[in-house]
Amino acid sequence: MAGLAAGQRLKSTVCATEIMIISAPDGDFELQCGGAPMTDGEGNAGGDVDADYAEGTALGKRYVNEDGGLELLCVKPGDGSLSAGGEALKVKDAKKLPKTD
Amino acid sequence: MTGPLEGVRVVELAVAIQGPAVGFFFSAMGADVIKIEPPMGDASRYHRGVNNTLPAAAYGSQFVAMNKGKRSVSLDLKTEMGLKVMERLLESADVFISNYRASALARIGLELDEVTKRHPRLVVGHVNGFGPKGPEADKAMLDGAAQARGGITGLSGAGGEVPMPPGAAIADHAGGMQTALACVTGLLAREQTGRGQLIQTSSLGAQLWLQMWELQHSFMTRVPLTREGSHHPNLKAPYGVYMTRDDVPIMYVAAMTDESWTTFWLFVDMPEALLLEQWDTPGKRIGVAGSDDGLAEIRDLMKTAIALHTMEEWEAFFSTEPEIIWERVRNHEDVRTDPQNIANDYVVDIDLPGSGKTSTVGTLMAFSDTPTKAPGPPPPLGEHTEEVMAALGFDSAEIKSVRDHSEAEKEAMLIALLGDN
Repeated sequence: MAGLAAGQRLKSTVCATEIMIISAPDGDFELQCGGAPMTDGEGNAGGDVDADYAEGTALGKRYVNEDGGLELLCVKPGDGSLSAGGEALKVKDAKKLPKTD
Repeated sequence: MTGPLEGVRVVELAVAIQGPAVGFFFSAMGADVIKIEPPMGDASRYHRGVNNTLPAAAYGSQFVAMNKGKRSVSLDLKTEMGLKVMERLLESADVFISNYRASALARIGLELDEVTKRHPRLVVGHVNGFGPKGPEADKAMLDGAAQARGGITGLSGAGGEVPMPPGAAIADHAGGMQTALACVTGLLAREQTGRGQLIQTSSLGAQLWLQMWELQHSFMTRVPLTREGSHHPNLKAPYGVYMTRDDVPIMYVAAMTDESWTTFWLFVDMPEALLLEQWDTPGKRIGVAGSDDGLAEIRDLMKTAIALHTMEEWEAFFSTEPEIIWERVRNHEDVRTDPQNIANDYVVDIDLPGSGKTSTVGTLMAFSDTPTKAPGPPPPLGEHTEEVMAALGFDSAEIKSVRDHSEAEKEAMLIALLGDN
């Protein structure tokens, strides 16, 4: 897959998942969902979710790779789980803003 | 016990809002508040205001708001007997409240320092327009003047357009609140010293209290904050009021978590907004970063987003997002019926002559050990003259003379105002 740009939206080809790129390192690499490449065209072509990538995605969660250089936002949830170059992406911890009056 | 200040006696010589609001605080706390009124009464008894189709005998709303639960004594303080009753009342009192101008009080023999000397245990709470010192210490004041002088009017309204006074008489109300605090502090000090004292506050001072943060910011930056219309001068966006698709105003304050901020933009299917640098940290999102860079863009985005859904849809969404701070902008009927106000007795019912059962603002403070009771209606003019004078030791002839004089004065004033037919 060509380089990814912030704001770009991609769809899973095997489930309902849709994501938006928050940040991505330079260079080309493959982003997958459910073990299948994601696309910026028509999504969910009816293929099967790979059992090794079937933990599902959650709406509104941010997903990052190990070094944090890649960050995605799930804008539509699905059954597959996200990976990049074979590395499973993890949910990013949310930070809470202290309340103030 | 009917409240934390049961047993405290307050004498109030005050009109309109700022002074009587202090007396109302005390009556709400269970104190015995004796309102001294001239023969015609506090003029706010007669202020009818807009949309008022109630019978002429109904009290004015301003009078009701400020005078619930008090006793009324009608005295002509221009007479020797009136002043004699006043002095004896002050001798029996713990607190004296007035928002008459100091010069007016001095003219009738109630010069503030002298009153304090004559009654050494009395806490004298005096509130005026612009403070007890300086060249304008005795300048006349009504609410809007103090708002303007204190800088609040200048901060209200759309940038570049005519400043707007806030929609409520906040200068008077705040002056009353601060004076109530001052008087209670004076009572506590008396516990330590055994002495009362003169405490002077002002509407102008209260305006500064209401803006301590905003003023401090302007003072520290040496750049005065400016009005920002439906936004806060120091929280320029996204904080602000926006209209829903069905034209209902929403006050959006802040998303307290990254998650809720994200969910907000997903709800309107505008996740690209999350990428904007202007609000990519929680601090920027509450507006504290204070930069004007891209301000118009992020205000437009918020305006577009809120306008994508109806109020009902937003309420359903926000109910699932407790970390987003927001409120629908309410009108006074909404306030009257707000279940939260009712649950807290912030709005309670009261029976009023000429008006019947009416909603009114309650005591607003919840005491665990000395609970308050909602004060009853305001008193008819002079209703308690006789009982108060009798309790002070005046005989029936003296009481009759005061009552007859007040009634004659009132009648003469009515004739002067309305004619004799």
